Parts: sequence; structure tokens; C-alpha cells
Amino acid sequence: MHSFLSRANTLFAFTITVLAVLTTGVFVSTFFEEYRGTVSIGAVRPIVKHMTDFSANRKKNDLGVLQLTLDMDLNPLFDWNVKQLFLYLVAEYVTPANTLNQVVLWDKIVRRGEEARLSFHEIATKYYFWDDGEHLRSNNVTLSLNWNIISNAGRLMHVRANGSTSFVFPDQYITSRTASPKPSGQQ
Amino acid sequence: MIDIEWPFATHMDFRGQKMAERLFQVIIVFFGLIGFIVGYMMQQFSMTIYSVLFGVLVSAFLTIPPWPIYRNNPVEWQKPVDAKKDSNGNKNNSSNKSTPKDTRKAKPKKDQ
Repeated sequence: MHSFLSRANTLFAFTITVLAVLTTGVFVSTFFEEYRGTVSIGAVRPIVKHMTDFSANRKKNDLGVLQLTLDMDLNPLFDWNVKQLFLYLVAEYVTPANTLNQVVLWDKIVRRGEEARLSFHEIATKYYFWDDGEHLRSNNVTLSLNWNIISNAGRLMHVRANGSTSFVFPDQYITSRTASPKPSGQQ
Repeated sequence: MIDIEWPFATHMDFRGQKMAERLFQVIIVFFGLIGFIVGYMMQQFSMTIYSVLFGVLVSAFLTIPPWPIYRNNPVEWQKPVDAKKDSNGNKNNSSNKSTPKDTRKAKPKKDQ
């Protein structure tokens, strides 16, 4: 502490220590938070196509096509330790080939400060709904929205929202080309 | 650390250093606590960080420049001994750069 630089050095090191302690305090203050919420999901006009999957094994697989209607209010989830949310919509179903299939159909990143009341009406899925085989016809599929909490200081938690819906695919393929629009891909 | 020769004196005496260190510790911890409470109430962690940074600014202004209050208890050096009388009993504690230059009568011990 006998010169400028040594005083500045001591001050800086002490500041960093204080910031580390405060960050630990933030972590502890939100440790037991569960981040639950309710959303409303709707599956609109589901159909099944039978097409060659060029990104996989070149065989003909089932492709499910549907539109999504989503409504959610995420404002209660943003406490002072949440930096952003990663939302993803998962379709889960059972086939004779696999006990559990999970396909992500749509995702979104919601940052702190952005609009957190989201409402989508009959949007196309963001990703293709390929089945590993040909078992989508008449299959009962459950759609559920999950979010991944990205904290300032803390664990990365995956939480499933309340309010999942189920629907059943029709039992016939669509063969004509006048069917529903293709998925939108990356936005 | 690199020691730079400033054109003005930048030292504090020992009591001043202790006072300065205690002062910035108290200031920063105080602003840290205030910031934590405000941040918790507003649910905004950025408020906590801004509060600590403001505390750092205040402390830096109060403790980094060598204000005169930190020089109220200067170290009392002994009187310089005439070099001809006593060459080995070196009572003149030639210390580092924190002493003014005119007390160096004996040969310097450290080359700083």
C-alpha cells in the first residue's frame, strides 16, 4: 500500500472477492426455486406422409406434419438469477421399434428483457417430424413444452411445463401433393 | 509489479495505509450489501453489480491518491550518524524509496 499501483492492486483484488461472494449469495437465494409454469399447446391438422428421408438411411420413413398453436406467459420465471430461457417443444410417442421416441419440433430462446408473453397461431413446426420407421399412423403423440433455465450463477435446469396435449395421427398416408405446408426450418 | 517513479510523492505512512485499507474494505462491503438488498428487491442482479462498482469508484477516489490525512504519522527516523565516526554500526536505516533522499548518508544497502 505504499504506492499507487499497489493500492490499486489491493483494491481490485478485494473488489473481485466481494463480487464472488455476492454471486454466491445470488446462487443461494434461488437454490430452491422450481420454475414451474403452465402453457397451452394445440396441435392442428396432423397428417402423416411416407417419404424418403435423405438425411438418414435413404429408406422410406414416416413424416408427421402438423401446425402448432402456443400460448404462454413466462414473466414469473425471470427472477434475478435467470439470464435466458431455452424453450423446446417435444413430441413423445411409443412405437414397436422403440419404447420411447422424443422429437423436438420447435424451440426458441427468450432472453431477459424480451417479450415473455408468447402467442403463436398455427405456425409450422421448426424441425421435421421424422419417425425412425413407419409407425406414426394412428399413433398417440404427446406434445409438451420444456424450458432450460440459463442462470447467472447456478445449475442448468430442465423443467417440463404443465399443460401438455395429446393427439392421434390419422391412419392413412397423405399421397397427394396438395397437403399442408412444409416445416419452416431455421428461422 | 513495476515500480514507476512518479514526479510527486505517492507514499503513505503505515498508519495511513492501515486507515486506507480499512476504509476501502468497509466502503466496498457496505455498497455490496446495499446492492445485494436492492438487487433482491428489484430482482435485477445488474443493480448489485452497479452498486459495487460505484463503491469501488468512491473508494478509489478516497484511498488511491495519497491524501495528506494519510501522512499524519510519519515514521520517525533516527538522526543520521556522521560517516567518519562509525563506519560499521549502521544506525541509519536506509530504507526503500519511501524516505526522502537527504537522509541517505551511509552507502545504500539495496539498489532500488
